[in-house]
Amino acid sequence: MLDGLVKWARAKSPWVCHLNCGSCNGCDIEIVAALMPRFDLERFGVLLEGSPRHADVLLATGPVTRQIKDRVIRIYEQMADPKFVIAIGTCGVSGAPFYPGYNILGGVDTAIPVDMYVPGCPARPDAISYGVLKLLATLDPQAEKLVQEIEARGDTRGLVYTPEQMAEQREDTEAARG
Amino acid sequence: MTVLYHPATVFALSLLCGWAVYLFGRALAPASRVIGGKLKTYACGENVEADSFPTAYHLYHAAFIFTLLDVMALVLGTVTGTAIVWMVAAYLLVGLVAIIILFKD
Repeated sequence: MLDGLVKWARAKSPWVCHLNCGSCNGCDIEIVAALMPRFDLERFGVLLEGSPRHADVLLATGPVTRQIKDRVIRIYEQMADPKFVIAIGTCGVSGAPFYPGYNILGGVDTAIPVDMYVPGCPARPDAISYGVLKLLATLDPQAEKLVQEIEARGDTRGLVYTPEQMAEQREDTEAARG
Repeated sequence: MTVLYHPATVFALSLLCGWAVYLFGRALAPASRVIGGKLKTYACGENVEADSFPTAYHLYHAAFIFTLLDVMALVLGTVTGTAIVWMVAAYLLVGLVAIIILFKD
């Protein structure tokens, strides 16, 4: 019963913290747009927090630079367990187009484990909302139902990738390059 | 019934409520994993050491004496007419000892 209560509370109040790893600010503005009343991410209980100490989900934008890598890891370590990371924007996903610049290590997953990828330059606010919802679907059956409803309503391919889908995508890209 | 309103009872009940909330939180929270910079001061990801932020303690004594005097003035100001004189005197004495200890160095 206690486990059920914890799971319910966790799924209904995923507090997020925004971290710019080296983004141009494009995706950061879209995160704000996703949280505002038009897309209203807050209807799922999402609350933007200033400190990772209070957050469950880290919304990371931009490529990981050599300078920020240690800071990203430290911030991730300082989050309370259980924690999730969503890489937002094409730079957060792979570092592109800045990778392989002299100061760029790649996407967010070069520093910390990522649970959901939301590509786009910048990532669309509805895609960010969908990414968060897909993450919540792993915790909450109601959110899962909503994701299925959204997927039945329209084509959502390419909006959000799970780590497994991203690994497949990368393999395909490598194979195409030969 | 008056036992319920007694300050000692209220204090004990408050303490029990606090512990109950704390224990409930402990039961809900997953086991803590202390890794890397988990226990470090949060400074937007910066690796700060304790001596990076020297605290100015020279004003601490002044702030503390004003706090003591304020609290003492508040307590004496709200003393009822039926208060026992020697208890008020004892309270003042304890305050005086606290101030002496504060400035003994």
